Amino acid sequence: MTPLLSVRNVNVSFRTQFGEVKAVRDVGFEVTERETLAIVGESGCGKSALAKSILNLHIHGNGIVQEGSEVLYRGENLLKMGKKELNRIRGRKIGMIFQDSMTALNPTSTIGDQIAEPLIIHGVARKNEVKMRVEELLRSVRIADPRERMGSYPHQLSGGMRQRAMIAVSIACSPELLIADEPTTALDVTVQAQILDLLCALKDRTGMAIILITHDMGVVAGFADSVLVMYAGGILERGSKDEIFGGPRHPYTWALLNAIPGKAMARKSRLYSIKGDPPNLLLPIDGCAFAARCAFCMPVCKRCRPKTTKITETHSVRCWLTHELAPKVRRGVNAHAQ
Amino acid sequence: MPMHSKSVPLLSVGGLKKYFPVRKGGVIKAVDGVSFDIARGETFSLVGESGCGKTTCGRTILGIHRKTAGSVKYDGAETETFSKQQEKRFHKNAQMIFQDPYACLDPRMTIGAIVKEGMHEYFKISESEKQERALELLARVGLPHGFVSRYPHELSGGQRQRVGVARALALEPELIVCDEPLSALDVSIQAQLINLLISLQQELNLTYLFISHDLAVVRHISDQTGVMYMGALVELGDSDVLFRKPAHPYTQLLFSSIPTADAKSVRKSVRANFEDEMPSAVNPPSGCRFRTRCGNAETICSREAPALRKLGDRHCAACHFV
Repeated sequence: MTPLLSVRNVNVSFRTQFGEVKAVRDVGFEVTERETLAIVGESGCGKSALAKSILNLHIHGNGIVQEGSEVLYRGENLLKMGKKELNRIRGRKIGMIFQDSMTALNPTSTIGDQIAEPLIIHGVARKNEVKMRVEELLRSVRIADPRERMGSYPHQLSGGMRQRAMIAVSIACSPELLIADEPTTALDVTVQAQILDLLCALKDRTGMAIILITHDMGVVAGFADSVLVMYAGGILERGSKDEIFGGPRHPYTWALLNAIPGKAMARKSRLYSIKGDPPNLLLPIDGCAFAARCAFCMPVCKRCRPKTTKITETHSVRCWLTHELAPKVRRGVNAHAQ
Repeated sequence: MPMHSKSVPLLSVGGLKKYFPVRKGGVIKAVDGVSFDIARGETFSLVGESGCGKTTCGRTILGIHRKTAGSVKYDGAETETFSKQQEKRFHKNAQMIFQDPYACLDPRMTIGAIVKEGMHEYFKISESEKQERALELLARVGLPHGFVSRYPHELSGGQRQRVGVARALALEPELIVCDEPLSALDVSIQAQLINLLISLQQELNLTYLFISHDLAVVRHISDQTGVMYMGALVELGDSDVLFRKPAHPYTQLLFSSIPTADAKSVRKSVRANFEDEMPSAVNPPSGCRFRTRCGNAETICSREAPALRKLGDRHCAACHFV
């Protein structure tokens, strides 16, 4: 089966006054149809920079996608496309939800108009149908009184409602792939649950694939089919949800899972924590990016970057511990993720 | 309702109210009759969604906001009737750690100056002793000595939050109000800070009022937990009991919203009983404030506001049907 999206060898950097920040380093992965892929990592690990590069949105900012990077959507390289061609894909085939609905929506235009815009631009709905389609969309994201709400401006809505309105914009043209960049980070848990339930329902109905970017392992556990763990701009581990939660292989993934207090833990017991801070992306990283903070670091880890090792067809990891000569280590104490 | 403990609780809040006037002559009842006790050396957590009044509650207790009504007793004495001297002692003994590690440190002061600032007012010690103490404190929160002459912008979020902890510790407090100290931090850094707060509590016998919306963290660190909804406590109890057997429908909704891998459908069906939208804070529903979202609401819920009722030894909830 050809993948829906195939990201190959993507490198993104930002020019700053201090030098070049390499935000995304040699990232490659695939998304198949109907798959929900979660990209997890801590702030600054390059997950958003990666998401933006998929739709080639960096040309509007100060990010630079390096030569040789490829983002193939059904075999076509989005990074090589002209603006016109690209605009046929953006919003039509690939939709995007941003973290902050207040800044992503246009404050001077009603949400009805903003949902209608992609419908009209992509010619998905005829002029006399547009209003009806907008109403339908608002209803499908479970906004009450859609007819009235169409005339509301973003500032008149609550955070959860705005997020729903933005989802309505991004799914207006029934895209095949939806990129959701931290869609629930700014929201309360109950609202987060509503939004995730909504995305699940939309996915079941339309069969779209989703790339979900998050830092919350709980969200990943509840929502994703497969998981990509990013650190300092690179992918450390990739696998199905069961593989990542049931048998993670990278020490960083272990640490991420163990850092969340679990139900089974004794109250006020020490949590597993990763010492130190992430590496400075202004400096070149020799060897494994996680080596300086890794509890299992070996001399080789600081010198050479490990290759990606396949554990199963879907599970791969970038760590020297998978080498046949490496000592056999077991994942730390407990294996809760929930 | 007060929890029973043999000695006097360090902090005892009774019927605390804080109203904010809004335009058009109305008021927002940000905190509306909250009562709880915290025993010395324990952690009490306030949880709830944004806008429920948990932060206002913490700030009103410390006197940052002037309370509208109610009592705040510190070590058995009412804070309102404090003399100037007592008040000063209270401000030394009750410290706060803030949510935003970027906004709460003066960008023009060095880390050393930030940590030492409070000492000038409260301790009659020489400059070199202050410096020594500042270095001790930095070491205590796990920051290298060299940071004493650095500025906040040179530090990462986790390091800044450690500075916030060191600043609070500088005055040798008994009570620390931690207002969402972790929400701006990444998980791995969060774990470091949780460990730090726990070990400090054990060594210095600190009492925490911990304000958070992160239920997994609250469950892990607190002895008692109070759940707030629209300015009032709807459930209160021993954390073990509360998390195992949440009684109030709102607590159940809150807990079922935490994303986890297990039993998705069960939690979804719990949530299906509830309305999504929060009512307006200026114009809250009559009777029980949760009734507009609650699946079990009946006529009594709109007529009468339920009081906190005792369910067990250290557990109470405010609902007509528990």
